[in-house]
Amino acid sequence: MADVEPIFSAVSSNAHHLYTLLQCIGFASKATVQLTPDGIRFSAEESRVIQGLAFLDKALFTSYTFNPPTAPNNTSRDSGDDDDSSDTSYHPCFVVSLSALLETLKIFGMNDSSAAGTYKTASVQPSNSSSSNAFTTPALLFDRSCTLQYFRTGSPLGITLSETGVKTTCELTTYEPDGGEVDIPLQRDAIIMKVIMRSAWLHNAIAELGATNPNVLKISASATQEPFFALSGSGGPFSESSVEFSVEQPSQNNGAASQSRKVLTDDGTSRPRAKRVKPAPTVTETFLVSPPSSMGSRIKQDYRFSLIQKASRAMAVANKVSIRNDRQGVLSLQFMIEFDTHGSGGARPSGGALGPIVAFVDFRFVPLLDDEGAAGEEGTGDLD
Amino acid sequence: MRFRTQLSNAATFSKLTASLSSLGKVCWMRLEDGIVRFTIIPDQGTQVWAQLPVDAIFEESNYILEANAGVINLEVPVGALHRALRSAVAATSTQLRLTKKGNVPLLALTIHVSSWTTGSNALGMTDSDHAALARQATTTSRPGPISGPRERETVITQEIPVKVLHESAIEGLHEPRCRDPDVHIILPSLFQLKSISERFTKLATDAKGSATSAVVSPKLELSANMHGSLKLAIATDALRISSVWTDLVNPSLDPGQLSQTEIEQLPSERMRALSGDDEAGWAKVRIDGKDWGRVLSVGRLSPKVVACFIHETALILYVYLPGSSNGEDSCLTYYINSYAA
Repeated sequence: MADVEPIFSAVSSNAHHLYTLLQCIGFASKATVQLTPDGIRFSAEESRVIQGLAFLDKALFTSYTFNPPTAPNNTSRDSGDDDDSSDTSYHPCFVVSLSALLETLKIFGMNDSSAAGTYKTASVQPSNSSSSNAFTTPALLFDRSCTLQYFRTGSPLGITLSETGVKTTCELTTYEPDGGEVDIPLQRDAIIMKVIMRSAWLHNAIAELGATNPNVLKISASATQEPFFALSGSGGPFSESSVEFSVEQPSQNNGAASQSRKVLTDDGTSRPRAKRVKPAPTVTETFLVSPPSSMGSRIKQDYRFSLIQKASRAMAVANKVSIRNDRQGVLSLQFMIEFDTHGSGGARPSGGALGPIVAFVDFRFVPLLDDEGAAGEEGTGDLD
Repeated sequence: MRFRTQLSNAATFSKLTASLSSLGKVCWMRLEDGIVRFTIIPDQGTQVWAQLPVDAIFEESNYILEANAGVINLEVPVGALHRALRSAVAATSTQLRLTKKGNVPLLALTIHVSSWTTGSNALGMTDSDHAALARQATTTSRPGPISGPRERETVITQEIPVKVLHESAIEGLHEPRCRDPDVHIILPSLFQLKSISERFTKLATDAKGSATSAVVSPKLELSANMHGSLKLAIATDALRISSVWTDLVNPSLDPGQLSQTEIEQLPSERMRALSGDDEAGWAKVRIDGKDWGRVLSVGRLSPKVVACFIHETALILYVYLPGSSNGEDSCLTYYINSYAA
């Protein structure tokens, strides 16, 4: 085994970053892993109505080598797409136990108390929630490393954690994907809503709605009428509750301007820099709503609340979230997670002024088509 | 039958009882001249035989023991003893004696706590925690005659019902005898070992699923060689995980107790002769994950622990308490059986 160059080998000096990203999609017990030259893609899904994608960019690792295997077995399900047909290399794809992987990563640096996540907090401050503070001394982390290795097609995924005096090796059995891992399609050319805001606002809103234990989350957005953007929970044992992201006009210095321009937009003129002109909730950085004519002026879409809640870890750790909705109602939550480079260890060339590393975690949700949530689950399964 | 003493090290005594109480509900406490022994023999799981010199936890000068055979055997609910001792940790002095209330024999702890009062109220009941601790205890206060800030003393009495064991009841109880170990090694930090062990146990429990195997706790594989390596491993369908510690110490045996030829014939010396990467040089035991976690709770005493491996048979831990004048006298011995594969 040692003679052959492994297919994939990556070393990180900060397993906590990997853990932070992967725990965002930790709602499923298994994840599909795809190795690519640019990073590792972890995908988790449940009943084909929710999908979480975490991409571990190669920038998160201090060394990253990927030797795409040539001549895979012909029965590979990837054999159909020949877009990289210049050689016969392919990107290995397999399934591992995500819960076991997360538990293993937790062993790394287990003795620091700072590793305890902020997940349980009911409400997060809208500030950078990356893990460094005055009490994590990067100097203490120097002699640690976390290595991921995949030798040959079918071999286990190896994770080696080295700390002073103790070395932990975990070999995760890799399973063949059963072919069912089809991404939930998001029609990028038919996006009817795009909202970008601090993720903490979304986290707090979902936590607030979660208190009444609703079945259904209703997303409502309109470019012209109040409430411009609202989330509400219904169908639970208690009454409905809703969070409306309001427009704070008096305190905004451009409040008067947007008031006066509102008249212009009501005339129906579409302007390119819409967020400057149209009224938008104060918390949003981007607020674009363009419902198709069949929907009227307001976009309304229902999702199973418990599924949306599965993204709450990502909401808690991310900086920003982009909420998108396509014409078919598929909801995409794309989270941007920033890591400080301070904690990433000594091997990285510190003079490079890389700034924070940015990573992305994506969630996609299939909408509820029927009015009642319980009936909708089976119906939406065959949407893809 | 009389037993009365003064606690010299309530913190150690409290931690000791905490560790013991995680393994069993009742403890056989044997009071002898110069030696106190605590034994826990649960129906299933790890046995503990602890032997402490009197001065490790009691004031030797105040140790009064009068009994027919010079020995008192008690059956003590060790959890209750531990809870009682918690109020003694911060005390100025604590007295422990065997007494009787009606027909029930009791171990009575009389705890003197002194504290400074700030106010001039007569009772000075500012710190409510004394009252909370002494829930079933009687608290008497002796406030001084002057008002204003002063030192005041609280006396807390904790009573623990015990059973006096007749000599015939304990005749059949013997410390387990084992053959010479194959490997002996000093364990790394028990805190680290415990947290990794617990994570492994959790991994195995999660991987198995919840339905059928909830009653069977997973088995950890613990192995070591005579070249300073200790390995903790667990395997399930979904994963194989192991942690290896290196550069640990294999303590040498006391040449004063065994002759050179005797030492050479020990299995551990044969294991030492095998090279470090030889699989045959590892002695392995299979232990219950949850039970092992409870055993490792002795780490709160920050002891030195020598683990003796008898390949596929048993693991014996010799736990030496720190700070005792002659370490060999105060030793907790844990006997852990190995499970079959």
